[in-house]
Amino acid sequence: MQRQVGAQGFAFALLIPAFVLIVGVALWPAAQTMWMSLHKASMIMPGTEFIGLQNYQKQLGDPRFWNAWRNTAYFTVASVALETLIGLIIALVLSQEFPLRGWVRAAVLVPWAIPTVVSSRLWGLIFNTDFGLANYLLRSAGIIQTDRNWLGEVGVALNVTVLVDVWKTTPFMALLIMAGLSTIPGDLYEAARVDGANMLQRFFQITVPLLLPVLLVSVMLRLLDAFRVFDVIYVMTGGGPADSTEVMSTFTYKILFSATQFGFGSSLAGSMFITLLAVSIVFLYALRNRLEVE
Amino acid sequence: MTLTRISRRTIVKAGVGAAVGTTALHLGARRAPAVIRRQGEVKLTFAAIKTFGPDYIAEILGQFEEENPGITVEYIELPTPNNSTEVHTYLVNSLNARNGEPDVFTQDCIWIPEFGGAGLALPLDDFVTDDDKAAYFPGLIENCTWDGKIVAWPWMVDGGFMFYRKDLLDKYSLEAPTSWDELISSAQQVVEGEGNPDLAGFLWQGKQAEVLVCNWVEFLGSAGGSTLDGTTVTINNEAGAKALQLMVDLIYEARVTPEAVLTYDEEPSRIPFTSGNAVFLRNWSYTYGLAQDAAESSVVDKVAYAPLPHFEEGRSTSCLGGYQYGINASSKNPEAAYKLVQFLSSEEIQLKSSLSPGSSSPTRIAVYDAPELKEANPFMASLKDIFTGSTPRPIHPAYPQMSLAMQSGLSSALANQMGVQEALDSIAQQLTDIIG
Amino acid sequence: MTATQAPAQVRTGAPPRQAARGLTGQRLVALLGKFAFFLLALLIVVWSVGPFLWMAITSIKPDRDLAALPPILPTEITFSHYFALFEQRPFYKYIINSTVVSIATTLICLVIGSLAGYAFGRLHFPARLPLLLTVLVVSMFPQISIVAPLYRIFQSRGLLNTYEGLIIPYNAFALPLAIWILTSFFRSIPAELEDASRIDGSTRLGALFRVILPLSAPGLFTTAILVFIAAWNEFLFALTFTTSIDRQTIPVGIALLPAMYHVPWGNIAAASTLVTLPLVALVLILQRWIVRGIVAGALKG
Repeated sequence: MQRQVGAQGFAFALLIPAFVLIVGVALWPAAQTMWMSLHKASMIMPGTEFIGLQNYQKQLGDPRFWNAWRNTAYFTVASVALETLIGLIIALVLSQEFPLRGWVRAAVLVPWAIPTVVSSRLWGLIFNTDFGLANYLLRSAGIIQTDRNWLGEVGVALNVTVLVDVWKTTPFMALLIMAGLSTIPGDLYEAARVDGANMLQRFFQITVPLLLPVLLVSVMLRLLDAFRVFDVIYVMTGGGPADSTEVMSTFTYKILFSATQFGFGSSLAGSMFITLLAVSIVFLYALRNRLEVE
Repeated sequence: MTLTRISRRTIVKAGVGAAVGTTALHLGARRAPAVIRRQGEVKLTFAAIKTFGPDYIAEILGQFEEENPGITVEYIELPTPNNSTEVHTYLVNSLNARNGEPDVFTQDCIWIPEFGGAGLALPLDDFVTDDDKAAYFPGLIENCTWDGKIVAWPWMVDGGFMFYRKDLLDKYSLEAPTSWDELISSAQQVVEGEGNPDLAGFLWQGKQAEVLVCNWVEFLGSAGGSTLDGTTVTINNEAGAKALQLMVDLIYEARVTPEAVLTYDEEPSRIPFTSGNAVFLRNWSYTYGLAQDAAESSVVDKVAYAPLPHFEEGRSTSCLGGYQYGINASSKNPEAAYKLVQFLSSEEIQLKSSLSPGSSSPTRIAVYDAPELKEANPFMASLKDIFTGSTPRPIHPAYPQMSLAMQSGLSSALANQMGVQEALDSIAQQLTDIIG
Repeated sequence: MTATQAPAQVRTGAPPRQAARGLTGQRLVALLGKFAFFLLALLIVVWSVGPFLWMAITSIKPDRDLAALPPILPTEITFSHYFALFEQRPFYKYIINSTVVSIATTLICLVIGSLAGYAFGRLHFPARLPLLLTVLVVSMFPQISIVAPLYRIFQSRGLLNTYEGLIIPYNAFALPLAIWILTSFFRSIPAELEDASRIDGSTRLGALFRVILPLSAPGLFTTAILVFIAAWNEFLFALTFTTSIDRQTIPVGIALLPAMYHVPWGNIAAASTLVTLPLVALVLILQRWIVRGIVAGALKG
């Protein structure tokens, strides 16, 4: 009993530094924003008025909100799915022994090391209609006959931003999966090989189940991140053309800092938060066994 | 020249002295401890967007400190105008903290009613004289006024122009077009004649961003229309439909504008032009300096400029752009802050800053007539008439909201997601709701 | 094309049944599999580094060639963009600031995150799950929406334009990720190892440093890289909370390179190439530790 209390006290002591930071710098301002979402308030005009959930009601009737929501959902699902797939392939390749592996590993991380502000501009230049590398290469290879207007075409632009996000963040995914792969004991494969399991069987019966928790956590972290995508879209398209790449973050940013509608903007942030909470609950349910202390 | 400048400065100083005397009393009543003025203790902060030469602002601030012993200025460098949302965010955050920092700031001309209306910018009526006002382009003083009060002071002005390839027009014996029809036929003729698949006819900025509204104001004005008349939305009429239809037709009917303009803001449209891949370009005045810079441009000495074309019933319109000074309403040293604004906007400094190529255009009319400017930067000296008639974007505290609505509607029409009339209906409806 | 075919060929090479066939057939299949594998690795490298190389090429092109394609390779090589970077403003200051902020963030985050990860991963205490969820909730809130309240807090505490003003929020937002990774790594270490160390007289903290942390080296390095790069790349907070070149970081510095409307793409490409290279070097040095066959498996045997 005594030891139990001591251990608990020790556990809480270990948590103090992390929680001071998290509560003070993230949760407290976030709580302020949530409280503000219940007000009619401007960012710059003095005076606020408590209006309950009216801002949230207003969202539901605002076509801009639903448009941003749809685009965000599409962006999130598409980019995380691709990142997971490519990240898994890269991680599997890089966990094999081969010459120059160290260099290949370093190379894989390059996209991620370039500030997003820069990589978005870089890709903007590559996808430029008139003098971009993409059109030039595709035309030279005979894949397209005439130049595509990648970022100016409704329905295409959002996919280009997905591609850029995938390029940028797949290293993150690959790194987490590689780290996860490294925790799988090598003798398990050895034993399976002795039992006559082929490569596919070994992959699905050892790698997948043992990797699943890491994979789920990584996918969840990426989902939370992709849902809040900002820089890529802000720099490459500004939400256009015709709002076809407007996502929740860019829309919220515009409402908060351009239109200075503090209350309404905060409620948009609140809606993003609620959505992410719901997504996390689903994942946490899937991960519940890992979270419980046996 | 030097003599008159000195005498002017002395007179102005005397005038300000008197004005400061009265305001000090006036302000003193509101916040007593703030107005204690002791030499050697005043420290100002100046938040300015980044403009041209790297040390330019630091250098003139040094001159100010030298001429005003006892005042030191800390310079806060903000991003460039094409990052205007970030600049706006910074100003919203810092002014709204209401702790007097920064004392002096620079703002896009479209935010003046917003900051003035919110009481974040100090009214300058007690400081400025009628003589001061008369020295500037009249439209600018109007632009710096909100609700009858002067809440900003002119720094630099800019406007949209038509840049064109003089060599190509000469080759086909064409004159600079003054109507849109002429522009379309000239562009088609040159593009066809050159047979270069990379050569575009007419580039402008159609990205869903603030610059799209600037382009729109020019097309609209050239058709004789306007966005707002007082508090009435006037966008949705024949002129509006004509202007928007032209923008759409340039891309899909006349095909002189590539669809890529839907993704273009300033630089993506400027680069093909100075690389020799466009006949006509609508852009701000900075384009000229770059077009004449051999490191950047393949068309040195082949470029000329003119006012933008117009419809029969409209006139050539240049969208009023530029950045203006403001004083933080919470500044603890408003007199010193005004001294700084006055120094920065003086004829001497405006002339100095306009002498380098690619620099911003002065707001004082007299600077355009200075012989030094005519010699060092004849391009800029020639802009006087264009700036005299430039057209502002709607002047309203809720302008940023209105701009978002216009960007969305215009982009929808340009991307063929909405018909012209449908887009105008939608914009007009949203603007009416915002002004409400 | 190669990407989809490659695994199939690797697979056909693997089943032992085929090993019974003639030696040449087996070698051919193995060779093909190897070839496909290298092709896949090559594809991965091209996909990752290609755009970066394009940026590096752009950085040595004169600006007027920017809109000219072909040629892909520059007709004239210029290093003027690199010189301009340091002539026009002390660009090295941004590099120093970014280095200080990113390293400090990484170290602090590893220490605080390890302590918390140990508590979450290996200790029993009430409210464990709610607390862990609270950590996760932080990683869900849109950062753009807390910039304004945070600005006011930092201003009143005098944290604007300081290293702390960046290190503190970077830690707060990197911690959830760090805690999650470390918790899951610490949990994967068999309890017997720690118990053995405790029996030998170690305190719990001693066991953390002597047993758990060394065994979690891959997790620690992974976390370090993730946190470091996140801090190195962060833009919004850095732009909002720092206004002086003595504290601004590289992304802000690059964003400030344009003058008026003019975007000096060559200079931006030069700056980006320059600041990406140290990170590549860092990864090259660290990578041998990042993914190293962990002891956990060996110890079970």
